[in-house]
Amino acid sequence: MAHLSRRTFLATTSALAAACALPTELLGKALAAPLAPSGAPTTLQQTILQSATANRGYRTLVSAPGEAYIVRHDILRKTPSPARVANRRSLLYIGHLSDIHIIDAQGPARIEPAQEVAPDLLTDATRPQETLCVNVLAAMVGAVKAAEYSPLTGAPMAAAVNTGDTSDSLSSQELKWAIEALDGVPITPNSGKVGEYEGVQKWSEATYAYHPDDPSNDVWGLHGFPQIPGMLTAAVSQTIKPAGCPAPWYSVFGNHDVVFVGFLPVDAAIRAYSVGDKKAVGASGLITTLTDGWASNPSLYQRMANQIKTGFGFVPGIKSVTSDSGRSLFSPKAFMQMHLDSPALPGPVGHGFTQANIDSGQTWWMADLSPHVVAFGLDTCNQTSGADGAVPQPQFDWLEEQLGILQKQNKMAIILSHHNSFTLENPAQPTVGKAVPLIHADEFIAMLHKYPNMVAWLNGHTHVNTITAHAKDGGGGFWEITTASCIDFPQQQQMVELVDNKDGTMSIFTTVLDSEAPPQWTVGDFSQVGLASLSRELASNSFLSQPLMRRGSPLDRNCELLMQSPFDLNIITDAQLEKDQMIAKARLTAHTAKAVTQ
Amino acid sequence: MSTERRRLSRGTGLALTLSLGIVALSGCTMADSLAPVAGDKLNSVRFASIDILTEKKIEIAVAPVCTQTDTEYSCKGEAMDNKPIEVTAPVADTIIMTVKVGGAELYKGNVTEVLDRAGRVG
Repeated sequence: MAHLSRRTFLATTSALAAACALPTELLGKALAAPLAPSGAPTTLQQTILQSATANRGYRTLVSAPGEAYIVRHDILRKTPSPARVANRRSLLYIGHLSDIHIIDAQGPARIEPAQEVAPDLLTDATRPQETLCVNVLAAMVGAVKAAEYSPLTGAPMAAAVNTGDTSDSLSSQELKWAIEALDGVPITPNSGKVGEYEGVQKWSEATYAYHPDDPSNDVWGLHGFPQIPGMLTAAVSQTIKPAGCPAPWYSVFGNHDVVFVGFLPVDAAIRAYSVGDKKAVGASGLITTLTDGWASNPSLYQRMANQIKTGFGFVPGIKSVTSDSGRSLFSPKAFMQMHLDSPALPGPVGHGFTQANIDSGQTWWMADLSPHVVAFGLDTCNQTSGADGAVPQPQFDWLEEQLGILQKQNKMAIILSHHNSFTLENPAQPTVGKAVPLIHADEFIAMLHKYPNMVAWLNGHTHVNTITAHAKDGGGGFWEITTASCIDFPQQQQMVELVDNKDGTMSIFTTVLDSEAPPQWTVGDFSQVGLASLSRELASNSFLSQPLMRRGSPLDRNCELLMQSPFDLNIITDAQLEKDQMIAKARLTAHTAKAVTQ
Repeated sequence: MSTERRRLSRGTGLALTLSLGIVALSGCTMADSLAPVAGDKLNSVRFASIDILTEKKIEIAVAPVCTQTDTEYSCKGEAMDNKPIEVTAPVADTIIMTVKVGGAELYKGNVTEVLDRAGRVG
């Protein structure tokens, strides 16, 4: 197939140098370099496992051998040609982030005391590592930056996608920190009182929470969690400098970005509580906050009485904190607006959302990741209640229509959603207003099977690495790739690459990333990456969240996922791919140059 | 600590559970939506069975696909030599699974122990 001509190469280089404000000579050198597998630090080279040795049940983490790609035949159902290894060419290389769960642990609008009475049901009401989540995201973005060239083909990263649960408790503060970390803006992850942590991890009566300063009286200490004096102060005092995503990043809604703490409806009372100066430390305090406005719908006098009792400290289980208006709960419209308001680089403006979304209230979008691959950013969240999701009928109809159009245009489609096929069964409908028919997993998958150009469905939600083959009766099908989270162990995300095998088949390669934080935390290391390392270790020891299971199996991590090509991929010329890659390389070069000059 | 927790479990705990329930039930069909993020045990069976298959160097053509009834987890897959892969495990707090390839038992034992072994080193 025809390659890019020298004349086109030079013209494109000059145009990109001007667009990226880079010296032509510097960029020309980068663009002229042939693609070669990068030595990016991924789990191909090294993994992170728990030490076999425990101290009262608590284990540190250690580095372990890397994991090579495993070939999966579930959809192709035949042995692939060995020649593909030499012939393959990259069609698209992207990062996949999910379930970032930035937590403002000091925010009043949380439900930590619920863990006191229902620890098995509400495993994530409070986590030992929750103050360190911005460190983790910064370290994960660092890992994505380090893997900006493919370890398989050397192709440059064209985009990154974030499949939801960017925030944890619907707090504007949380969403702001997440967007800033992805954009490479420095962050001091503190709210309320400057330089001081105010929350359940410091209040001794909150025995259900981990107290790093002294865990001797809490349930985590009983499980061997160590004393780490100074951790909380370091977490809220330090200014974190994230590398920022090197490529344009796209975002979709997760249930934690739509309903309170991921499953509860929001009302005016909880909105007011979120920016107030009272925070529940005990179950009785949480009951007051929950029943004050939400479901009980008390009389005006009762609500006034509750406010007075709470305000004067007559209600047990509530403590005073420093209020912060930045903690206000965001609406779906505000979520999209905050994405539109983020800096122009790394872009794209709106990160998938456009002004049309704001104007219409439509919470889903489509965008070209390359001239040959289109992404659909779906909103599978239920705005009424519940953690799990569904596809509303209007969105389903729109998607099917667009897939049909793309099929005729010989373009591939990738679906991005928060929920996966195991968690797409939420039937909740609002009490007031018109019910919208909800499409669940079986019907959704059956529709996708009609369109061979729909090659991959990227999602999250369960915080578990999982790769599911959706083989179609009679041949064909697509791959569903569920990535783990930044909050629970193993704190892994991944890179995804579409590859033309030039034999009528294609492959999707998944490469799991650990954050750039060291495998083993060194006692006393409160540096930016040190705290991310500590977060991973604490998460791996959670006795509530089955941490080791969340790694998935080897068939859910570094894999080559084979499938039939959706159409004759020869219509995508080498010259076209080279031009796409030049643009992506120029972006990466500009991002690195900017980091060097800062 | 444990005494305090037991006390809360009876009194305040009941009230809190009821409160969360009331909040959640304030929409007509919300009760059906409250199932937590699902499938941890089913996932555990799937992952542990694949850990066993890869440990035993079984080449997999179709990775086990798992389903659950009230009493049993079961998974079906296929090896590259067309032999069926079958995994069964009774629903229980401690899950004991049986992994068979081509009808021959490859493993019978605790799921958690397999996951722990795969996730630890040294």
